[in-house]
Amino acid sequence: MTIEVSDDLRTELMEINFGPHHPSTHGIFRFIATLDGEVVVDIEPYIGYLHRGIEKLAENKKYMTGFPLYDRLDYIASLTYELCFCLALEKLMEIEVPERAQFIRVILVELQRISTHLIFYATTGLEAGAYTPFLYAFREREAILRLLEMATGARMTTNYFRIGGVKWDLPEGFEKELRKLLSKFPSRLEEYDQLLTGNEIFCQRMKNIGILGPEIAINIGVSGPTLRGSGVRFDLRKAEPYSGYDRFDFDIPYGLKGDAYDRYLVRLQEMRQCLRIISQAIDGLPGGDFRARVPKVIKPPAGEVYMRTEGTRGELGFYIISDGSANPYKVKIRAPSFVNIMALKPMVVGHTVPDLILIFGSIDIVMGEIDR
Amino acid sequence: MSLLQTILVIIIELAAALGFIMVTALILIYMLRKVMGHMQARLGPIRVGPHGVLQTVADALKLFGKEDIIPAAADKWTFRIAPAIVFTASLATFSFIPFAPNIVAVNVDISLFFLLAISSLAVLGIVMAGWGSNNKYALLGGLRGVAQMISYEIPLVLSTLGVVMMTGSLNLIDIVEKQKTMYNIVPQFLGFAIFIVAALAKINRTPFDLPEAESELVAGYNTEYSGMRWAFFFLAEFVNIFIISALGTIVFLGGWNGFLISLPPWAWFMIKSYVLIFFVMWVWSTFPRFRADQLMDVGWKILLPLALLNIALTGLVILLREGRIF
Amino acid sequence: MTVKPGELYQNRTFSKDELTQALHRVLDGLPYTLEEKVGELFILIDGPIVLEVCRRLNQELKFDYLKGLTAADYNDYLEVIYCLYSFDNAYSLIVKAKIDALDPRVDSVISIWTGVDLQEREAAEMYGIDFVGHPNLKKLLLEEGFEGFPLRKSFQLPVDEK
Repeated sequence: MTIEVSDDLRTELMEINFGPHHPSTHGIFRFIATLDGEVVVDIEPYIGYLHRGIEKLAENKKYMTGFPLYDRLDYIASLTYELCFCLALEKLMEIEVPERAQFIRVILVELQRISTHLIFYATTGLEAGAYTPFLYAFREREAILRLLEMATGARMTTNYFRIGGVKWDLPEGFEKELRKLLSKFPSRLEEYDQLLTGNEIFCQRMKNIGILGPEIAINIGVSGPTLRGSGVRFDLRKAEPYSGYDRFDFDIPYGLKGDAYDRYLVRLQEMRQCLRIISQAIDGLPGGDFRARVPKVIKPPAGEVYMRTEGTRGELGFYIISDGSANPYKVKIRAPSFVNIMALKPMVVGHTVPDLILIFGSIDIVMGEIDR
Repeated sequence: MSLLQTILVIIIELAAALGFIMVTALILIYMLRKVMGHMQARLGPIRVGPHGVLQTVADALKLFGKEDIIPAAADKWTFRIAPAIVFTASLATFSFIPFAPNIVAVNVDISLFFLLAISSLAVLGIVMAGWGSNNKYALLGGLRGVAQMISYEIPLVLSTLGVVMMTGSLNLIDIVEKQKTMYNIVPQFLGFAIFIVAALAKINRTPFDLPEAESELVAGYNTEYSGMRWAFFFLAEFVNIFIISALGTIVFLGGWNGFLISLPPWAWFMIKSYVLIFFVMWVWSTFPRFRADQLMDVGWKILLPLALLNIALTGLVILLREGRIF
Repeated sequence: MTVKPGELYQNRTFSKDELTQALHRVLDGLPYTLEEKVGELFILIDGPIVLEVCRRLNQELKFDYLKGLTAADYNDYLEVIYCLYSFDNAYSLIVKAKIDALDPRVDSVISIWTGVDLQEREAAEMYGIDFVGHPNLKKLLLEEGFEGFPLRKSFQLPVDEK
């Protein structure tokens, strides 16, 4: 059916501003969407509201004095940044990390991966208009944070890993608490699935929106669950194993279509894989030192290194240039969200505002690492 | 009775009605917080008064004390009147609801029709709020509200038509009295299902809370409102929940007709209404939200044909019973 | 490249020697240096040929993924650093392009890797590099009216008087 529109009837594009303070911008992110009715025709992101110049600050501090700064990048998955920074320096200084430390690192990072994916689950629920998943997810996240606090002394900004190992050994009782969580968690995951994954309305909302093909995803540089949702079965933990990930048996979940629902499913599946890794790690946790012998003042040899790990949101990299002094000459942080938001425009054009919010949520960004 | 006395009586009646409505709204808000809280693995309000019962009162007092902000670029009068229209529409519908055979403010022969017609006036207030705020979020919310309310009005009215055909009356009291032996929900189950879905959409509740979709439109049509004007929207919402539940009780659940134990009629009526309200809150805290086009699909492509089918079937059964066919 | 859903991308289809040979073949005729440090392959080139090198690497050696773009300041010259990765043969490569500190300009590679948009904008405002051909090279992270290029070594951080 076609509708005749007379010439003197004109429609106008409307520009609508989302953020910096908007309920679903995951921090202080702002984008201006140009709408035709409710259909998005263009979108432009504006970032920088959280810029702290961490890369510059790092150049002016010693390696380990600047260390807590990296906790403030992805403030809900701080250990992933600590791990990558430590690995980069260990690669540059050729330090062998004791097995126990590697296992402890894996356990904690995977715990944190679960907790960030829980936040993703929670916010996806919120953005789809369901409030209950949010609180259910935060209940479990609380348990994980308590474990992290037990091990590292802090809930969010942990400052726990060290070059060559970890700050101190796992405390007594940690293993027991962890096993308690591991035994409880699978049933909680079922609960999440019942609440949201299979919900007819939710499926209708999430399926077939924000489709990102694998070729374009790779071309943009998308990584992590967002890339895997597009069907690329690529995980740095498998492709370039670090910190002993090659010793653990786990699968890489991937999507087939590349829509928002696939990205959602990938993250939910990943939580299950994290549980597998953690239980293998805690079962095989070796004894021995928790830190290698490293000099008090870290002075890596002159040179440069790019180390990348599988962060919770994608490829998390540190490019460190050392001139042989105690301060890094340059630290470049390759934040996954920073690159992933470039996929927003190809995903949302042609969709409506409610879809825009869901698609944006399905990329799962955190502003701390975008603005750095 | 002198004129003065008449006026006095009217004022007292009005005050009583307003008081009842306010109290109902307060109870519903408290109930929502508690029901939702416990469904979401938390406690809900707990600090103000025993088990937080006074929390809503405290919030209401806070809203009274808040500054009433009118945006500089707003269409001032439209902006001011909008909450009043929404609230008045909700209030007016109250007068047609029979709580018991003898407790009803206005008893007219077509009270069902009147109730539905007047409650639809609220959409005017919503579009005025959306337009008058001069805010894009509000405008989108207002437009969505209009589209949604108009599309769901039709299945809602049609879903009750089956009952009207069976009863032969549009009077709510007659409808209840006819259900002495069997509640309408049994023969009219399809109608009841359509009614519930359409009712959720009409009162803008999850999964149809698009006009105020928080994650997209901040607060939809009431984005720019604050203080008491906002409170009026809020109260109207809760009053609407009560009205629609009461209507469902009257039309499908047998109104004040009790079973098993004997309670006063108004108590039965309240119990049934609150069961429906609980159901609304249950849905509220469980489901995600529809998208605008999906919402329209559900309304026009599923509910409307089903409602028409329901009417046709009801008509057929009535004709068969009376032996007018064959 | 064509992606088959579910295929695992971690296989090296040829050895490192073959990769270096292929690099020499592909970059034939251009001035470059190839070196290996800490297990990483570096290609050092001059600024003006960045686009050509990147295009050849992308099209002929299937370096289809830009891990990251950044720059480094060595006082008398700047370096733009491209970290590349190839899903097809699982090799990483770092291309470093030397550019003049006084007239820092380099061709934008946005025509090859579209996602480099924000990273080039960031490098542009942090180091004052002009990415020629970038469609929208305005400020990204810093506030309006910010003077200077913060990640240059010549930029002094405000000193706390205490």
